[in-house]
Parts: sequence; C-alpha cells; structure tokens
Amino acid sequence: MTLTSVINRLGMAAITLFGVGLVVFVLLRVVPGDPIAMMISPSATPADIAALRAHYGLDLPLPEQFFIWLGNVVHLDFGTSISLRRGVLQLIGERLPATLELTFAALVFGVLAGGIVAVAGVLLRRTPLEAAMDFVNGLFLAVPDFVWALVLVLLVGVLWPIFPLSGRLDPVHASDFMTPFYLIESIVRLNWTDTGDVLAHLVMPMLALGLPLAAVIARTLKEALSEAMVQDYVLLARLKGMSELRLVLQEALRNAVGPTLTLTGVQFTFMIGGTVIVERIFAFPGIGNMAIDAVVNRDLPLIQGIVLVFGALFIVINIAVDLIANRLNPRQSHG
Amino acid sequence: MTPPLVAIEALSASSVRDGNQPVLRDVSLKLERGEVHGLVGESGAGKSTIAKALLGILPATIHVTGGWLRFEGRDLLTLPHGELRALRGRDITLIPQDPQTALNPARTIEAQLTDGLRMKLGLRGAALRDRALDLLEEVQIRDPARVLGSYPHQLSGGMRQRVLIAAAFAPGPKLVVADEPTTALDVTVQKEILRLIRRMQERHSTAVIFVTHDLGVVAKICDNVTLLYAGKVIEAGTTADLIERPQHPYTKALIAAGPRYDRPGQGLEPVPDSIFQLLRAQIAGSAERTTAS
Repeated sequence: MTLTSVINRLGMAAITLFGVGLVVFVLLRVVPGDPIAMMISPSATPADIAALRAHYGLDLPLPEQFFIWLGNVVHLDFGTSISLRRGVLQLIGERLPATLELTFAALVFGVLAGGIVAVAGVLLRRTPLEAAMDFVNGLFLAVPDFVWALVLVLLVGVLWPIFPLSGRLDPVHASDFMTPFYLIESIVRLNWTDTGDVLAHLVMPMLALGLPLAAVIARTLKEALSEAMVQDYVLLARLKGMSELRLVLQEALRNAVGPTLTLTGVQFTFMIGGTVIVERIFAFPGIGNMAIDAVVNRDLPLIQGIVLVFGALFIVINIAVDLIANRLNPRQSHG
Repeated sequence: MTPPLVAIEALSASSVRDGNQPVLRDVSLKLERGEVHGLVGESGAGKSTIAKALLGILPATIHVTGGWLRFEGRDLLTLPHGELRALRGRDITLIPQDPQTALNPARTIEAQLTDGLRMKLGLRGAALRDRALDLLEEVQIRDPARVLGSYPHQLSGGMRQRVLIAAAFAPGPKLVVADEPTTALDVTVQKEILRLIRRMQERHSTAVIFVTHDLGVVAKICDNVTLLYAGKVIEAGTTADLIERPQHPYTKALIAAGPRYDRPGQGLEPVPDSIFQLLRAQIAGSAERTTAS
C-alpha cells in the first residue's frame, strides 16, 4: 500500500466513524425511552429530574449535545455510563478483550472447518459423498448463529454436559489474571490449567458464531476451487505427477481464495454483530452482552461508545482483508 | 530387440456423448526414440485424443473400444494409477497449447519450472537453482535470474512458452507431447519456438509427438508424419515423402490448400467437396469390413 492510499483509508475511516456516531446519536434521541426515567426512584420530584437531566447535559439542544460529545470523543473521552456510573472507555476496555478472543476463536474455527470441508469436497468431487456433504452444508448455511446457540445449549446443557455453558471462566481462577485477555495471558504464562478452563468456556459460543461462517466458507471456497481445478495450469501440474491434494493446496488454493477472503471479511463483521445475542445466551461477559444491558437501561453514552467501537472494528477488518488480498495476489503486489 | 518407444496398435475409441460416434478408427503408429512425429489433422480428426491417451488424461466420455497403446512395451491404457503417476512428468511430459493459461498466475516461474526437478529428480537447494538457470539459458531467455523470480503475468507469451518448453524437457523425459504449441503465438514467435523445440529435442535426444493442424509446421520440424481424418489414418510416412510425393488425394488437396509464399497474390484453394465424399466413402467402407470380419 502506498502512502496516499493509507491516508485515503484513514480519511475514509474518520468519515465513516463520524457518520456512525451521528446516526446513532440522533437515533437514540428520537426513539422513545428516557435514561433518567430508568434510574430515578419513584419518589423523585420534577426538580430532581431536571437537575439530573442538566447533570448529564440532556437539557441542551440536540446539535449542541452532539458536538460536545463529538469533541470529547476526539479526545478519547467517551463519557460516563449512566447506569454503571463508570467511564465508558474503561468499561469497554474490560469487556472488549473477551469479545475479541471469542470472535477470533470463532474466525479461526470457521476458516479451518470451512477450509477443510471445501478441500475435502473438491477431492471427493463426482462421488456420492460430495453430494451428501453439499446437502449438509446447505442445511448449515440456513441455520443462524443464535439458533446454533440454542441448539448447543440444549445438546450440551441437557443431553451431553461436557462443556460449561456460561461465563468466561470458572470463578476460582478469576484472581489468576492481570489483563482482560484471559486466553492470551494464560498461554503466555504457560498456565495450561487456566488455558483449558478458558477454552472450555469458549467452545460453545465459538461454535455458535463459527458454524455459520464455516458453512459459508465451505460453499464459496469449494466452488472457487472446483473452477480452479479445471484450469490448464492444474492439468499441466497433474501431468507433472502431483497428487490431487497437492494440486488443490499448491495450485488451486491461492488462485481460488480471493472471493472467499472478501466474503470472510463481510461475514466476520456480521459475526461481531452476532456476539450481541450469542454472548447473552451464554452469559459471556463481552461487549455484545454489555450492549444489551446498555440498551435496556437507555444508557446513551455507553451505547454510543459500544457502537463506535463496533464501527472501528468493521473498518479495521476491512483494511485487514484488503491487505491480505494484496499479499496473496502477485499481480497487485509486484507491479 | 527393444520395443519402439511408442507403439499404437489398432487403437479404436468412441465418444459416449455423441451416441458412440467413433473418434479413433483402427489407428496404428510407431515412434522410435529421438524421433519427431507429426500428428496432423483437422479438428475432430483424433489427434488430440491420441495425445490425451498418451498422457493418460482421456475424458471419461471417451471409451477405448479396442487396440493397445504401448510405451516401452507397457500398455498405458491398463497401467495402474500409481505407475502412471510415476511415469508422468518423468518419462512423458507435455508442452501445452496456450502459454497464457498453462502457467499458474500465483506461483513464481522458478517454482513451476522446477516442479519436475524436485519431485522426480529430488534436486534441492543450489543444485536445483543452477539447473533452473541452465534450463532458461538453454531456451535462450536473457537475464534468467530475474525471470526465475518473476510471475507469469510479467512475461510475454513467447517467454512463457519458452519457460514451458524448458519445464517439459527439465526432467529428461523420453517423450514430449507438444500439443499445438505454436497456435496461440504470434507468427513471428512461432518460427523461433519451432526451432527451439527441435534444438532441445536434438540436444536431449527426446522423442516428440507434435500435434498440429498445420502441414507447414510439420514440414519444418517433423521426421515422420501421420495424417488423420475423422479418427482414421489417411496417410503416414516420412515428412519428405508425404509432402513431396503425397499418395492420397486428401493429402494432395491439403498441400495445395496451404499458402504458397513463392506465389503471393494467389488465393487459397479450399479442399474440394469430392475429396470429402471420397474420405467418407473410404471410412464407411472400412467400417463395414471391420464389422464383417
């Protein structure tokens, strides 16, 4: 990437985030629901309410409120949560790592599982097994993440209790950690007991988020691989005596992975949206779970902060996808 | 006595897709070591089917109905898959038709040129790289070190075909199948590529099956020729005999139909309809004889 394109990307990112902030800010204030009404006791007088409104700046005209908030955000001051009475940035800082570890685990699972199914499907092409795999994959494509979550709760909670169903780790280990990145920290410290516990808690929400992604990747990648496998260069490589597996991995994969990569980026952003419900179902203390609480409590500063973080994540993912696509395509990276 | 390198004996095949239409009728030909043999015919004459059978990549829609296809005495049609894979890329290699699509756009020239050397000869490291540089020099590519690090899109069509020729001769094969290797190229480049294949073939004393529809190309490069029409051998012999003393009316008409550079301005002569009628009658006649016997 050249310097100009980097500057362009950053400029676009700033504009996007501004738009996201504006839309959320306005929407939250035109929909019904009053944050003050959620927090006061029934015995409060109108004067008390007015005082609280003034305290949170909710009595000012809307444009003024927006620009005060925007000015603070630029200085990385996201305000104070109304319901939790703590800094929004601090709250996000505690919860975001949980969501990041969960979504990256689900991404890795989705890519590996989807990739393996795609390659297996190409190797088994024109066999009855291929048709069976395509059929099952079609079913998986139709099941959304929250349905997986409920199915998994039923399976593991009722029929086959092997994994914990809620939380991020067993509370007895809670004091072991200095950072909110439990998985990374336990691995860095080589504390395998903790790693095992964190992973066990991660499995269920990871599957719920990762299975739909795996199905999409399996379908897209298999189609692209099948197209690549009939190209002349694959035939020539086959005539060099290469095995079919090697033909798929060495000859076809790099040429076929482009559309899958783009789609994975899009699906990954959907998946981050999906954390809101899935984290709720598994009582996983991530940012998505916190978003529901924030909405229930009409906690305007917290909602705005969370949405901005989601927006920033989407932008980072899109840039990452472009960078990877650039690296994989020799036509773009070598003039 | 050692058997010939390739011996095709009474090979017949038909296409399942076209209602069991025969695509090869009783084809026989022999190829000695170090010989360049032209396989000539129009599209549908069966020349590509023979090439595919030699490479072991006949499509599932083509069924061999009779005959043998022997390579050093072993029947390629019944060879177990493992032995076929061992043979491929080592003893039999291919120069493909279209250099634009036959190179993998995502792999470097070095990786693709040295596949055979790594997989079949087990070369590694400096020896591998030296051999790759030698090969590129053999096919007259300037600045071979730079080309090795290039990707296909950075090379011209002629350069790519040179790379593909180098790759085909790299593992020291006994037989190279050249599948219309000049059709996709510029006329100016075609001549150089033909000369190059001939020189590589002589230097490595490799036999070449040269598939083409162009008698002019055959005259330049082949020792012997087999002319096919509708899956049947019409005429076969040394190139000199076939071009200078054609026996069959179809051969004569084809030679007459070629452009005459010594007489510019003269229009091209199409092959007359009467000859196609004759061909059809002959093919029908021999088919009857086969069924009768």
